[in-house]
Amino acid sequence: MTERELLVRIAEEDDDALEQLYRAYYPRLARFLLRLNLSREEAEEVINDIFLVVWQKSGAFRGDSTPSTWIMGIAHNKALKCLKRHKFVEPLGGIADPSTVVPDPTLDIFTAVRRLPAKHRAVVVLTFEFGYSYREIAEILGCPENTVKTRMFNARKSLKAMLET
Amino acid sequence: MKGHDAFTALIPWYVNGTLDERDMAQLADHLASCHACAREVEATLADARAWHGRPHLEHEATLQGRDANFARLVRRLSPSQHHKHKVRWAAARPRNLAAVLVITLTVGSVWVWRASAPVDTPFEAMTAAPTPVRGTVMQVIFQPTTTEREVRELLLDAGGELVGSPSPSGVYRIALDDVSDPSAYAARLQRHPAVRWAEVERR
Repeated sequence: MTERELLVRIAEEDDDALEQLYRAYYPRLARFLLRLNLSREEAEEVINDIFLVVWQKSGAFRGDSTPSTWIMGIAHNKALKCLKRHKFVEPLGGIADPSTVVPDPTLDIFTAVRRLPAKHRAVVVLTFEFGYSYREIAEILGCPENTVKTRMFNARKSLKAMLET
Repeated sequence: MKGHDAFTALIPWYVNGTLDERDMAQLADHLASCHACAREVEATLADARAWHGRPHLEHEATLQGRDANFARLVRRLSPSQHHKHKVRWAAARPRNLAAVLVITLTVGSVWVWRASAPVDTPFEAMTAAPTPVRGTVMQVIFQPTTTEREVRELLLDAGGELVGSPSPSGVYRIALDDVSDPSAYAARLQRHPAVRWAEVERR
């Protein structure tokens, strides 16, 4: 059964279909949320928040996007809300100014990405970890394609500054 | 025609292989003549290679919690949402309504039997001849508080299916295809909180 068919069945309140989709998406969502700096406990809670939305809103899924980008979009929104609760320690967006970044040759790319603002980090993770196109990422983030490219451009500039040897 | 910066911005998706044909062809043309972008491709490729093959340390631990986490989700769906939806869903579809009625009656019969019989009443024989089935058959009496969902989850977990209707005294017959040690399995079922009594059917 395809993911679209599962969503149709979930819209009819078929909880077996919900469980099937949950099991299929759990590893991917866990990876995404952990890469966005959520803790394990937060990731588990957010995954259930995501599927609560899937359960309630699957009837509104019209198929303009793929099920994958729709679900990852919900995940991104929920993750940002979770991170906002820690807004004093977690920069969410804005332009990271590479000139203020102190190079640290001991950093690896994962640690460096964790230090990016969350919106930049999401673009990097969705591109390199999950292999989405910039158009799909624009759908997931609900922003124009050029915004995705700009966030990636700034993220790469910051990463280069951080990883400079 | 795109400028240099527009091509540079496409490089991460050139590296992850998701550019469409038009973008790909234009960027390939640009790369042939732009050394700065060619170096950027090399640097991005190196980052992409470093990225892969490094699982998140917490990922495995999070995966292990999947089943328990799904159970928590199910609890959040019921009874306020899940149950309400189920009733509306059933009411909208006559064949589902019939299924819900059968389940309600069977769970109800277990409850009536439980309420009218002393706890230590020995199991009474079924009045109808059992439906013949292949494989191992378990006879199970569920706790009176067991819901239809719990029965279904238990069946899913066991890889079994109900055979026919329950007896008048609420004994369910569950056919299992692949059980190496039926007695041990019956003992395991017996320990399940939804199960009041379980035994391998003697044939």
